[in-house]
Amino acid sequence: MNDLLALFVSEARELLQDAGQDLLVLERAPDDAVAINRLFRSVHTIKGSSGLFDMPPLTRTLHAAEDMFQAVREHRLALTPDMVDMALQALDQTGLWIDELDRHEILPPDAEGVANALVSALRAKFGQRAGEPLAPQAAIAPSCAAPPPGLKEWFSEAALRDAAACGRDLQLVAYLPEENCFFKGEDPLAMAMRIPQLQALGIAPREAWPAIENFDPFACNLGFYALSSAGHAEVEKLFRYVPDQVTITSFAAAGLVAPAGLVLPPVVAALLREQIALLALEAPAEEFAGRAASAARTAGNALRHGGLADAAAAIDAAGARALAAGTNALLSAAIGEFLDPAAPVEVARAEAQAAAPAAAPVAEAQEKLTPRTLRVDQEKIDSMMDLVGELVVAKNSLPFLARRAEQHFGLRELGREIKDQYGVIDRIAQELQGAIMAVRMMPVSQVFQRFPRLVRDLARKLGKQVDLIIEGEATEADKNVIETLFDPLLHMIRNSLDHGIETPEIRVASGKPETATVRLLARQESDQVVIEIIDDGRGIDPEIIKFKAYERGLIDQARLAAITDQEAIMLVFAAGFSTAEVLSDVSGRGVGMDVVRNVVEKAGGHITLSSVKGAGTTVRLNLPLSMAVSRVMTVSLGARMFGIPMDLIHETVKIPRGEIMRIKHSEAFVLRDRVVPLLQLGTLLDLGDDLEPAEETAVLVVRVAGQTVGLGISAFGEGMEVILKPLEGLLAKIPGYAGTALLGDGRVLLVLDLKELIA
Amino acid sequence: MTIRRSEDMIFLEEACTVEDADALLAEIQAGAAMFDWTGCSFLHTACLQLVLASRLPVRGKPEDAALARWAAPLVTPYTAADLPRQTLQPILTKV
Repeated sequence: MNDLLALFVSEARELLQDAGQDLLVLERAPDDAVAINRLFRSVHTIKGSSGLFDMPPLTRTLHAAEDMFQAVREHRLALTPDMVDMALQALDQTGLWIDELDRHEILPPDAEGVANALVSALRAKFGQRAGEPLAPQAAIAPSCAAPPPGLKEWFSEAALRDAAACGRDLQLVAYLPEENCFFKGEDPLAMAMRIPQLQALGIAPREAWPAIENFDPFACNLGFYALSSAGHAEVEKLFRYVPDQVTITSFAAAGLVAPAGLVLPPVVAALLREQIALLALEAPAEEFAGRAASAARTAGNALRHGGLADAAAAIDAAGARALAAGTNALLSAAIGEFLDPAAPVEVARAEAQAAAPAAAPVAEAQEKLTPRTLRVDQEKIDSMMDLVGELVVAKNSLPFLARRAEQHFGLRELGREIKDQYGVIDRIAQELQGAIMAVRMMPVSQVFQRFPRLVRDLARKLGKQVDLIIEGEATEADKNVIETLFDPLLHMIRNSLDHGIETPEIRVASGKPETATVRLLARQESDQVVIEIIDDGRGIDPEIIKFKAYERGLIDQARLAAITDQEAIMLVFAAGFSTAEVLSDVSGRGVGMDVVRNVVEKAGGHITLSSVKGAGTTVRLNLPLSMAVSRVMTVSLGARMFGIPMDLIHETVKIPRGEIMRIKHSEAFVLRDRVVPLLQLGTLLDLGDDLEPAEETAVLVVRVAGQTVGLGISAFGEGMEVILKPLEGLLAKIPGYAGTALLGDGRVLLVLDLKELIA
Repeated sequence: MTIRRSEDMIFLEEACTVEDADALLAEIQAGAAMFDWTGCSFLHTACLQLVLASRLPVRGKPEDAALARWAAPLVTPYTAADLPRQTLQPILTKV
């Protein structure tokens, strides 16, 4: 794909995402000036860039949306939910087209029709006919390529000339420190002088100096204005702690010396030059018309992109004249006029630039866009993870070696030295493991950011009013964990909106605010990520759940009588449970919650639900930070050794033989006044070993699927971290095993899947 | 001392931090007529602000290269016109 188009696609995607978010903010707070300005800018930028390519449907659609936002921005129009729907639809359609461009480089054939429908729908929303621009182009915020006005106020002519000579894009930094910044330990002068690649610095009082007699030396009254040839991001980074006191404007350095009113961004200039070169080529007479028309169109689009609508109109006119006269010269001359013949220095540089590959400005722009990150194939990280796993295992064999040296060969000294070395390698291996895990960490915002839009659309569809509050989106977890999160969260948010949140009328009738609140929270708790979805809806009525569960045969009559409210609520996670009277297309097919539970448990997490009838429901997901390393406890059964996932283990107890009760075929024991069923692991695994009944049975108390169970074994082993490998091939079908792990002495540890074994 | 007064000249020497701003203001209010920052290796914004606000001429180039490049062009330069006062001052005070 052409570099320019690839750049456009990636930039447009980002901007569309921003625009969508800003729209949602605006719907809630229509007066948010920051959001409307940013929204307007995003859409304007995509529209402007799209003009560089031949895709009128996309450009026109965005133009209509832009006009609408312009009207909103100027308070000529109040933003209604219908308009937001329409605008979101336009943005979605643009997103689809961008995907299409990414794949096929052209818009689909039906784009024209779709665009027409969208444009007239958009324009109808604010009573304006298609093709009638709301405001003259010039009134629209100029593409940031032109130098901002007022530069001469802060910088001397000489400084500006020097800055322009660097020939790159410049950043104008206007830094207005707070009056009390000295008390915060800030030193704005030092900060300003630290601006990377500083080209010019102007310092001016913001208000007239007070008389020296009443001068407050600790109130900062200085404004700092700087020109830098560093990238926008680089400059922004310096001011990351005081972003509200700084405005950074990018513009083309060439603009500083170009004639007033005509400033060409480098990309535009390069395109114009290309058109001249194209027109200068010898061409057969029959191709002339097509070539001239295409050159005029491209040059016109490029100028429009640069915010120079008048210039574009002039080119269009020149193109028409050239076609009529049958000569390229008119058009070439017209384009050439905009390439600044007045400044010979510029022309020389222009030629130098034209001689360089045309892609140069694009490459530069790309450099500016790319954050300082590496894109690495996930497979590479995974294989590093595997290697570290092997290193951990290999390292674990050293203590065995040390013991052998001591006991088998009688070399105490050597044994000790091996242990010392082991300590060093152990530390490095752990750090290495930590570092690789950190690479795989991603913020949950990756998943959360999709919800505001979803909640909005759902709420509108259901006729409910819902505020979604997101907290802790910076919380990080392993990439795999994050990726498994979306579906469960989606299910639960849907459930919450569909079943939990009442309609506004019911809410008002029960004395609640009309607008419901759904909170989506994430935080880290030791080695787990906790995610909570809290709504203030009608809550869950345990009686209804019990009854439904009984009706569906999920519980029997005896259980119906004995079940506690909390246990009843957890029944919503049972397979085939749904209480919605009407199956809607939002949720309520009876597959939701048990799928959610399975997904979460597969990822090594667990899910809990609590609810107060009439006051709301809280769903809590606990997920491991990382799925790569599992903590297991080894237990022995005769001569065999097994691993049991640590997060299931509640406690370890030893029960004397006399205290084990027999209830028919089952065994049980009493633990703190509760009867706990006792299962023998050997029987569960069907090992058929006849173990000598010991005086005392070691019992692992585990919680599986909401039940507390005692697991009889021979002896407890130790807790360890292992890299769990799932069983593969023929072995994958054997139930009851979560996988295998390699021990330091080379033995293979079978790790049990207790849920499959017991449930 | 990083703020030193000698006759009507304020010497900004070594690191002039935000703590020196008060002393500097006092000297300006007490009628100092010019600055010399040749020995200045660091100048906090608060001190620069006072230098700029007083509009008094500044003699020399600061020792610190960044200051010399970026801050020096902004201050009122010390010109020959300031010279007589400086040379006459000791004589006048003696008289």
